[in-house]
Amino acid sequence: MEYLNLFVKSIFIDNMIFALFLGMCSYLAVSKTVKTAVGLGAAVTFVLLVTLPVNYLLNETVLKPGYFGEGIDLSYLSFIVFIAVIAAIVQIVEMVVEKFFPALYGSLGIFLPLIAVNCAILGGSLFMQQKEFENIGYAAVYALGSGIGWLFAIACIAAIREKLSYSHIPAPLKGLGITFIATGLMAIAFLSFSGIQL
Amino acid sequence: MALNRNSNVYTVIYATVLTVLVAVLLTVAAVGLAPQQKANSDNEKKQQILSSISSVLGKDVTLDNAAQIWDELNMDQNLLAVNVEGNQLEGVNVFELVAKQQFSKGEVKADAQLPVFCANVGGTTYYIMCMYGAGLWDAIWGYIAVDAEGQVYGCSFDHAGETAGLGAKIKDDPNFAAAFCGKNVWKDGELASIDVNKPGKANRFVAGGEHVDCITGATKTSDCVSVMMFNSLSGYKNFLLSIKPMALSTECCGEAAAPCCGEGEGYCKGESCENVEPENK
Amino acid sequence: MAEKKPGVFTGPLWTNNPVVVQVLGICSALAVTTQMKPALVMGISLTCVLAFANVIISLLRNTIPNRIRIIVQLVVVAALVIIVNQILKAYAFEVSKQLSVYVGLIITNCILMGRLEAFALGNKPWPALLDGLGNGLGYAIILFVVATFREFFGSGTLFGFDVIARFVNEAGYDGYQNCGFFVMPSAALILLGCIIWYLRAKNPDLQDK
Repeated sequence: MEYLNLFVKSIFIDNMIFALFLGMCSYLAVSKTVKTAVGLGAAVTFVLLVTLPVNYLLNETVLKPGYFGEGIDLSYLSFIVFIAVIAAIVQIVEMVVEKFFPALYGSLGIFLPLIAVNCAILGGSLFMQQKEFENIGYAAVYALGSGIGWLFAIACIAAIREKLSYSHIPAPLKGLGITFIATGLMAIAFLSFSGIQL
Repeated sequence: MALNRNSNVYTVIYATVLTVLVAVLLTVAAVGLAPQQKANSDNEKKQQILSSISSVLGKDVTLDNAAQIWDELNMDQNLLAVNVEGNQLEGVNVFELVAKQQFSKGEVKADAQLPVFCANVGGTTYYIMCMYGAGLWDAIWGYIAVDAEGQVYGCSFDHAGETAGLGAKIKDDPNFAAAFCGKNVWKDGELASIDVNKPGKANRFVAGGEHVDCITGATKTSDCVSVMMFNSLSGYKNFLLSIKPMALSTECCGEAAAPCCGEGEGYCKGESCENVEPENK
Repeated sequence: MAEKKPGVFTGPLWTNNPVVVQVLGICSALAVTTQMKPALVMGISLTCVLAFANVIISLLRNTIPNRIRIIVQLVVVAALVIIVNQILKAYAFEVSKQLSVYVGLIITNCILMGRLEAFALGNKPWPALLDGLGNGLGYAIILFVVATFREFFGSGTLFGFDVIARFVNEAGYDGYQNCGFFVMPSAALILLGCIIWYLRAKNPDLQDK
């Protein structure tokens, strides 16, 4: 039940786009068509699901004060460790996918290098660190929920943008401006989920 | 000699040198700034603790004067740790106790070590207790100061991520915390806590208990404060009972100079009870 | 010596603003703007990190092995961000708590990687410094504008000073309510949309076809 609560919460309430603004850059850049948007969303979910538990383990062991002996506190290195893990895992995943799943690589591959510098991934790790989950299960569930929430958001906005391209919008508002405003309106809709407890 | 920038050896050496340089730089920065950071977080904790008795002190406790007031009150000598049975624990570094670790799922753990910060101001002892719980978005916590009778003299609240301008008012709006002053956490010997509720509603924990009005637009966060306060005080219940002076009994059903019967304490003197222990029983 | 490049510094402040024109670094631009003080600190922090990172990468540009280019950039940026975070924790404790993880997210702020890749790797240190300062300040300006609106309407304060409520009370009215909508995340998105709208109306060159 705790897991389900966290899962639903990370999709709808703490939605990465609408509440935390994580991964906005790629959200705006790669949301012109639903197909690519879903591809990127799936890649983000996948990378989150792999990196978050790894970073969780690192955070609970080597980065914990006193792990290497009394008085040694390496927690200040967490940013650099997290980003290194993310960059390395993204590279490895890219190579593995290219070698063993060429079809998947064709659809996901182009997004993978982008993801290393996607704030959603590092943000996920940093929020995971801040939330101080009790065990790795929570971290994995949080990763899955956040990823699906992100996928959900980018798929929605891509669908809206596909429709918007046929509507009459004031010229200065075309493209970026209307996307922001549409995202804002979606965020208001998502506010109605707040306070849900399962 | 031109270096081959794409050779493996060059890449590995480059990476190694860079790593070492960065590691040294960061370690120097972190070690150099650590005392200042520790002082900041200690100071903030002192400020939060002391804020709960700012009405007694008669001045606002800020980050600038917190350490000074702390020392003036000689707080370091007046720290206790108690368990849920209300017994004092020895050999605990009270100031370093982390409230979060004493709670599990919003309730006080059975083996919790609960800090009590006793402040002596003007001859009265105020017991400052920690509170911790879940808010609407993230954790909320705070301190509540009561006297031996269970009357509240002030609270301070903080939060990790309540909505700015709404739920965040538990911290930002001094009127919210001030509303708790003068309320009593006891109701007829039951721990009623103080409910945070819509205006006009009654205490939901114990009928007839005290309540304060919730924050407009932040009913959820207010509810969370209410639950946090009740659960936290429940952990301190036995401690609070142990400091509570017993009420005088009204019945004297035994001989003169014998202890009174019924609830409460006191000794018979004639037909009534008095708080004076007779010299010869 | 370094040639003067017109527009390297002033361009990013408005017409080539990193946030609203290049669409970089949106995440933190939105998350830290409920109040002006954290927004200002965030702007300054990013400007410092960007300027230093630009100069360092520009100095190293001829030595960095191509294969580990991205990771070298990340390491330099991450190290600078850690230092900034430590300094904030030591000397601006309250603000650092409000910024929470968003200081760490400077690492993946697209402005940084974007400018390092696009500018610092191919330019000398001096223009790189100007470019870093310009883009950092351009980012800070947008943060500041959004934060001003959000704090004024959302909390009725400016820099934490009570503005609206004081006037309303002095005029003898009571019952003024702040517009809670402005502190919500959605308000930031819509405000930014409006800023882009304004900017593109002024500069038709920037409009999408």
